[in-house]
Amino acid sequence: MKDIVRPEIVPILREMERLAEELSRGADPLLRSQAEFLHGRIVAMVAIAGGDLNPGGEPASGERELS
Amino acid sequence: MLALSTGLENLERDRLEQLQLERLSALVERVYRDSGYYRRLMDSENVKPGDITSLDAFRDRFPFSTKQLFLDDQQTCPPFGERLSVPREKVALINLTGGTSGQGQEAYGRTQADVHTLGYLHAFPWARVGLRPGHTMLNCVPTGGMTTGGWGPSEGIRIAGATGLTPPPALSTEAKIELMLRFRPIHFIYASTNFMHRLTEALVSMGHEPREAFPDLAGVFIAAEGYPDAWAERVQDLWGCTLHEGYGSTQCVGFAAATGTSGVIGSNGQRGVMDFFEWMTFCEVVNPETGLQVESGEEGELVVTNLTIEASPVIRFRTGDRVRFVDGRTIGQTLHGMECGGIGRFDDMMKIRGNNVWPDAVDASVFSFPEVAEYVGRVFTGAGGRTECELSIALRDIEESRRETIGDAISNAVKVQTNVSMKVVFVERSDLPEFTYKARRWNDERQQGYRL
Repeated sequence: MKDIVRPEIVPILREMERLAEELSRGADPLLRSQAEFLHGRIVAMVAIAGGDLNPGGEPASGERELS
Repeated sequence: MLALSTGLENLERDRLEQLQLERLSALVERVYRDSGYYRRLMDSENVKPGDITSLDAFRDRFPFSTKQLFLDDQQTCPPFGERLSVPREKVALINLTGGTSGQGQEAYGRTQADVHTLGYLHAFPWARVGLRPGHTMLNCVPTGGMTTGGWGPSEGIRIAGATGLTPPPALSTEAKIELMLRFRPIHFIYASTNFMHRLTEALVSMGHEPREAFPDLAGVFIAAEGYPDAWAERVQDLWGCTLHEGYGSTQCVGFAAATGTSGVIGSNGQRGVMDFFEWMTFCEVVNPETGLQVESGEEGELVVTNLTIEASPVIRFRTGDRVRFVDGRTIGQTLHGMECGGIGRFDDMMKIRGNNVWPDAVDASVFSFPEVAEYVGRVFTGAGGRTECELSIALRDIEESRRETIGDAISNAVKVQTNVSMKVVFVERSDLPEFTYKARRWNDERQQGYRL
C-alpha cells in the first residue's frame, strides 16, 4: 500500500494565500482585517500540509509518492 | 482517506525525521533572529542555529526551557516575555496556562495562523477516530477563559465541519444531558476523564442506557486525567463505542498525542498508545535526572517543541508530566507515542477541574491564617461522580464562636488562589500527621471513585 502525500493542495493554498494578501492591501480596514484573518488561516494550512518547507509547492518529503 | 489528513502522519520514519529536522532548523534560525529569550538561551550554551544539523544535535545541544524560565522572561519583559517572536500587533489571541496557582501563569501570544493550528491540533485527533462533517459533537470541556483548552475545542469542531454542542460550564450535568437528548443524534463526546465519569453516572441514574439513548456515537474522547483500566472498559461497554484519549496542553497548542482507531485499550487488552503528532510537535521522553531519552517502556518526562508555531513557540519545554514512552517500532507503527491512562507528574501539581493546583499555593493560603496549626487535603470522586476537595484543618486554641468565620475565610482565600472550591472541616491536631521532613499534605483519591 502506498501512503500518498497530497502535494496538490499546496499550490492551491499558495494561490489562496496570494489572493488573501492582495485583499489585505485594500483600503477598508474591516475588509483588510478579514483578509488578514483568512491569510493567517491559509498560512497555517500551508504549514500543516508541509508547504512551509517548500515554497515551490512540492511536498516536504520531496516526493509525490512514498512507498 | 482520513478527514483533514495531509499525509504527513503517514510518512516513513526516515522521511518524518527529515521533515522534523527541516522544521527544527527553520524554527531555530527564526527564534535566534527574532526572540531575545531564545537567542540568550542559545548563546548561554554556545549554540548557533547552524549547529543543529541533526535531530541528535538538537537533543544534545539545544537547552531545555522550564516554566520558571518562561515566568522569569515574562517578569523581565512583560507581558509575553522575549519568547514572543512576532511583532506585538500580530498577536490575535492571548493564552495563559491554567489555574491561578502560586507558580504563576505562562503567557502565550497566538497569531491568526497559530489560532488555526490550535484548532487543527484539536480537530485532527477527533477526525482521525471518527468525527465527520455534519456530526454533532458534545464538548464538555469548559469553554472560553484564557487557556488553549478553552478555545481549541470550538475551533477544532468548526475546522472538522461538525456541529458543536457546547453547554455553558455552569450548567448542571442533568441540564447538559437534557441538551444532549434534545439535539440528538450525538456522534462524538469530548470531556475530561472526571466529567465523563460524572456524565455516565448521571445519565444512568436518570434511567437511560447510554448506548440506547445515543446509538449514533462514533467515539468518546477524554483528556486531562488518569483512570483505571476497568473503568475504561466499562465506559466502552455502557456507551457502545470506543473510548479515546488525547494528551494536550497550552504549551502544545492543542493535542500533541492521541489514540488511533483502536482507542485506549490496545488490541492485546493492555493499555493503548497515544501516538505523538510528530510532524507538528517534536516530542521527547527523557530521564528527568540525566535529560537523556528513555527506552521504550520506560517512564520519563515529556519534553515538547512546537514545529510550526509562529508567535510564542516552545522549544524543548519540560512539561513535568510523567509518561511511559512507546517506541512505535515495538508495536509496528511509524509514530512513537506514550501509554494511555497513566499520565502523572514529576512535581506534586494536581489537575483539579481543569485548574493546575500546586499544594504550595494552597499552603500559602491556608497558612496565611495564624490560627491554623496544620492541615491535610484530599481530592476525591464524591457522590454523583463529582470531583470534590476537602481540607481537614486543625486550629490552634481559639474561641469556638470564631471557627465558622475562619473556615469561610480560609475557603474563600483558597478559592481565590486556586480557582477551586474546597470544603473546610475542622479536626483535632492529633488527627493529623506530624510532618518531620517534606510535608505531603495531599492525597489524590479520585481514581478509587471511578466505578460504574
